[in-house]
Amino acid sequence: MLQQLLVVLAVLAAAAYAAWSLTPARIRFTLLSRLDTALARREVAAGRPGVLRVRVVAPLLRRAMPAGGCASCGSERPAAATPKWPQGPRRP
Amino acid sequence: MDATVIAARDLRVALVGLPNCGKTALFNRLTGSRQKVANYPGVTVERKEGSFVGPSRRRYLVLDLPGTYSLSPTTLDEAITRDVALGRLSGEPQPEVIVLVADATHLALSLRLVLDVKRLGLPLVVALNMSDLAQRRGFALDREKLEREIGVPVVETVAVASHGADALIRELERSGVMPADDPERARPPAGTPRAATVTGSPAASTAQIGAAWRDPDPDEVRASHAEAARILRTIGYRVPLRSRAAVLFDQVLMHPIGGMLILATLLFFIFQAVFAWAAAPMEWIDAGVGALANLLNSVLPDGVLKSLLVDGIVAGVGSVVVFLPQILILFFFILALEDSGYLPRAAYLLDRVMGSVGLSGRAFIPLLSSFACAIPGIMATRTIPNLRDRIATIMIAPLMTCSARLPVYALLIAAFIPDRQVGWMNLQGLVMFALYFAGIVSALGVAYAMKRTVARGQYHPLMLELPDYQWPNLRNLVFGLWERVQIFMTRVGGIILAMMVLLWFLSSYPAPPAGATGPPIEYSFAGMLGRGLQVLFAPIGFNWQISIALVPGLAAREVAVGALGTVYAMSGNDPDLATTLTPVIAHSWSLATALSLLAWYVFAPQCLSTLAIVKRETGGWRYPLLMAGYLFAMAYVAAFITYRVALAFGAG
Repeated sequence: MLQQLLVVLAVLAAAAYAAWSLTPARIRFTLLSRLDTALARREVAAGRPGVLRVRVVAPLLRRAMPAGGCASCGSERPAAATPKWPQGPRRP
Repeated sequence: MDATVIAARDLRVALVGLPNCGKTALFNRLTGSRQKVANYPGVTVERKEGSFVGPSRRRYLVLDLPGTYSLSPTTLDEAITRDVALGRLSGEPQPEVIVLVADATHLALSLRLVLDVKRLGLPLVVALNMSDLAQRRGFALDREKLEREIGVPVVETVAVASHGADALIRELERSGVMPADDPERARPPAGTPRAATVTGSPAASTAQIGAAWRDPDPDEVRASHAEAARILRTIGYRVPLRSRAAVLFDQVLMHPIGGMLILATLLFFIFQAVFAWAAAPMEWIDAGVGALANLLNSVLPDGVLKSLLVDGIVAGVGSVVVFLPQILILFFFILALEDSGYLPRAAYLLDRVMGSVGLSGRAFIPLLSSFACAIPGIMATRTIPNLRDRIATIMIAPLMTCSARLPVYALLIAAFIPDRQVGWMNLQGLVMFALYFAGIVSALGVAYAMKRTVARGQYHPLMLELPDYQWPNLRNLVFGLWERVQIFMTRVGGIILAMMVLLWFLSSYPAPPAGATGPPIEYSFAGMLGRGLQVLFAPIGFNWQISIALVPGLAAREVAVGALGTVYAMSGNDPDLATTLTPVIAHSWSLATALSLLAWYVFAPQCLSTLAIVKRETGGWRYPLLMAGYLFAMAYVAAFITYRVALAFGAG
């Protein structure tokens, strides 16, 4: 029973991932933008940043934004983490 | 800290400059990104964004823009630069500072662009890049004199060296260019010219600049050229001499006959190396996949989970991942050639061939990019000014053999072509070379047909600035190869894994009826699909297993290899099938079928992502549908002819 449950979950996850990956970048970007806007409204109402928006939606949005046609193609790589240049004194 | 406050303090910096002056290298240096850098013009065709935090804790949003010679664009990529600089690009705020990256070895052209950009009235800093190279060639530029003459700060940078951008960061920090929220820091220090200060409403200035901008008239262009010449005379600039070795190399490598021979030999050597050097690491990976399959077989109880893991995932994914060494060896050569400055020379050599079929010489770089993946190649066609030339190049880009086809070719060659020497050549490498060559020839053939029918137009000769020769940068090579590993493994762990799981499901359900004698896959959804498609593909020699594999292969071509692994693993009872795809197909297919499949994949209808990017770049469905139609027809006809001829020669 547990095996069957795991397999069903794996198949559903694979179907969702494949559908998302093969969706054209423009549609992905539009969907993510709408989700981002909705989450931003909730953040304003809650008065604090939401984890889902920061950790999940923002990276996906960044990846979808410049992309050409596919999620996995190497033609568009998102920028790496923001580097810090020769450290100056911390601002108060 | 409130998000809006952070945004207000960010400073938007745009990197503008001539093609191949080192903007992207500087961008990578500043932001820690790893955007593609190569030693030829036209690599960046879209805006790229990154950021860094300066010593003052201010965050800089850096925009890397396509190279341009002026703000009067002649190509789509140049138009992007102009529109971003003018704040005309929808959803893109105008930059608050422009860093004009000038190539110290080609200062005359850069200076005209400086004068053009100055007309925008935005704060401007000139980053004099490759200043080390100019010095090595015996020319020391008087930076302060240049600064006085052009009236904007000039900093010397070496984008490819560590700390090569420090001077630029210090200048940005000192320049006093501060957003409106921080008026205290908005006062520029006295002394040498500093970038002007932005203190007003950015929205207002954007609108003003965008609306007021007009292309310079001929008199203004002449005046700008005269002013650039005056400045160059004043600072005592002379074009740095080329080294004797570079001149000699050009004489040999760009010789109409000798150069072509060298190019052919080089390409031939690369494909030999792809097979010869990859054998050992491929065996190691194969052994690792086999060990994993055995381990799972021994520890998991029989059931659906074991079937999914062993027959679905390990068999499918394992049969693709084994080709990583070959892909890396191919890219090692491509990256080394890109960095060396040889590729634009190859473009020059092939211009006559391209011109003979009506293609623009500018099509070479996009077509070359398509050997990695058709998507960046199609995007790179933005550097082609003429629309018809651009469309023709887009339509043939998928015929260049992308890296996703390599696993398919390698699998079939390993299974059907004997690993033996023909003279000093390896036969498998020779066949691989022939397949790549077939892609190129067919692309030229299609271009010839198009340029005489739907994309008729004049021939536009190649005008390309030849970069300097340089030793491939080890850091670039290592990062480039690491990037390919990441891309490949992301595909393996992403779309390929997902497709294998789905294919396993479709190959396992519904369960066979009571009393069924064949393997369960024959009664499954995949089996039904395969038998349905076989009606279409039987005339070209494809069995139902191949027919199934072609469907997920539309997601990405190498998925077809994984799909064959899964389908054959599901078709038999041998637990070792998970790692023995090559001998299985060698045993169950005829040579005619294998050759037919190779011919199919020379033209095979491209992946869905390619169709999506063609729609985006051409602005409609007409060309992607036309492309899918003609490639499918060509693939079918070529496979049919190959199969029938092979059968006639007794290869059935």
